[in-house]
Amino acid sequence: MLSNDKKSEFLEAYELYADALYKHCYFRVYEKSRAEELTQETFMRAWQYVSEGKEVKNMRAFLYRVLTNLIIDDSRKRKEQSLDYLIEEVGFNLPDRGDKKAEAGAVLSEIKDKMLRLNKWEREIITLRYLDGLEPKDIAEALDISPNNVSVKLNRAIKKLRKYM
Amino acid sequence: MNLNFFEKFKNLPEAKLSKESKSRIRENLVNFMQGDVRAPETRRLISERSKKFSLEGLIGSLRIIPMPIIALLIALSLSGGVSFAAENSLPGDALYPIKVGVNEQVRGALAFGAKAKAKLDTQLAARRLEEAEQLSAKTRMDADVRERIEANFKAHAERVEARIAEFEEKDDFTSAADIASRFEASLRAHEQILERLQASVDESIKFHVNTLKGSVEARGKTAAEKRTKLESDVVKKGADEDVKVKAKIEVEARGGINAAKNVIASVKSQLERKQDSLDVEAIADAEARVSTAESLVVQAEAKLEAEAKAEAFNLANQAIRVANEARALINASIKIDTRVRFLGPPGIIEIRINSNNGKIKTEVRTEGEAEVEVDSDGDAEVETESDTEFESETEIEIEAESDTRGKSNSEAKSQAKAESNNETKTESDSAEAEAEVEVEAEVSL
Repeated sequence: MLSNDKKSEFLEAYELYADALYKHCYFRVYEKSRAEELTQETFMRAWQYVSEGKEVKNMRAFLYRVLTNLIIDDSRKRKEQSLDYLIEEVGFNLPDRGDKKAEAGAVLSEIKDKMLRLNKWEREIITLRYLDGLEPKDIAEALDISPNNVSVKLNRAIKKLRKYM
Repeated sequence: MNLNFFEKFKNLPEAKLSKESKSRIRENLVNFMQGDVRAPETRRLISERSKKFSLEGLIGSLRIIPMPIIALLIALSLSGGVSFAAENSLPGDALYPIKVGVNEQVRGALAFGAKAKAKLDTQLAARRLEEAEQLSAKTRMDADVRERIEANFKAHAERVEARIAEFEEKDDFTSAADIASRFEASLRAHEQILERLQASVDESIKFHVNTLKGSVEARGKTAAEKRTKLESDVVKKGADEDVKVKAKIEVEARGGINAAKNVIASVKSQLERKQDSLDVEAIADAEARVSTAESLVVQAEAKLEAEAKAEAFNLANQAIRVANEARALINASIKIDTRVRFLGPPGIIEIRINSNNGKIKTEVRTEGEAEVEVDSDGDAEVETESDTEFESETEIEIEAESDTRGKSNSEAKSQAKAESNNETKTESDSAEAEAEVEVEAEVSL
């Protein structure tokens, strides 16, 4: 039986990090409902890990690790959907097509377009660095690669983006 | 470097987790933590992850398994690899049944609402035409194949037409016009492509291309007529005094304008990216259409200002049609042919990417072998080795990783060693060297 301490501690972590994780998801999947699903799954899987008695030293980095794994898995499964189909969906096929929604569509299209230049790791690294504001050492922990590797990949990603700006 | 799209993103309304959603998720989380209630998503993910690659069935039968087959098996069980490879297959290819039977069914299941389904049917009709075009270019076309493609195309086209009629009956002229417009654009684009093909294929194939072109042309004409009629219906509706009707048309007009801008933007960036691989004529053609589309958008916006909302809607749709024509032109001008082949033992995977104008050429060859020895107790030893060689006219990035996953319940040691150019990892006890044999190629359709 797990102590209520552990549970309430974990729920505190939820209150603290849920917003940031959701934002990261939305940046990557462009859809509110999918982003919410992924955020929920992240915390549930993280809880499973914690409830098995395993220790987590850096909860924030750990949550990001679970999250990035889920996103990378998610993007593999979605390869079948053509990009054009998605571009048209956002900004055009939303329930109420007011000005705001269409504007969102344009921003998300731009993001999607830039992200296209990068591979799946680079997309995560760029997002973690510039959206979440994680330090390279935390990114390294989240992605389970060396900090050096993080800098290498980050620079490569920036070079790629710069090429097409 | 200008990364201000992050700032723009942060200001989007949906970028913030709403209070309602946050507490709803928290509730679900609390329930989850309370009991053994597994969220369906989680259940699915967990069971996929723990799939074991069981060697029991192979005892005694195969001593040496070519690596590509293992790679294929692993890909099959752990990711959507086969599904993705099927996307570019053509009638007659081994994976084509997956493209049509699985991938397209999944997309169908995900299309919610009549409009989305109509859009999907339009795209599927177009896919059939693309396949026909590619087959013709490869001289793989014959009467049987053509007839089957035609039949499929006809089925999708008829569904689209039925949906247009449905919307018409409901007096939803804007939706009907919208679908008709996209359908028309798609058909006209393919008409042009088939026309070009006619000039370049063999005599034997010409006949088939011609027949197909005839069907497409006929349907295109009908679609154009329909669309024109619907546009005037929309205008009539626009004169309606009813506040709700007026508001709806305005919303649709604005949405249309923004959708047009999106499509134009994506075509422009496509042009930019593919500049090097397109010929001068194609670029000029596409650019001309893009500017036409842009001026149509300006006109649409003007009409909107002038309270002529119905006209604005029609102009926006026209802009979308023209922009889509540009896109189809770009795509047709550069067909990238990607071939992935698994050759017999010893395992060789060959990847060839060619474009029809010779500007893109990439060849990757990876050769590997896996030796599996299984003894009568069922204990197994697997040794793999691989070797990759490549040659390319364009930038190439090879990410080679390999997937070794499994579980051993016996007390005897399980050892896995993975070596690659960058790192050497040695672990014991059911090692997990994360990886996947993944083939990524950009293909335009």
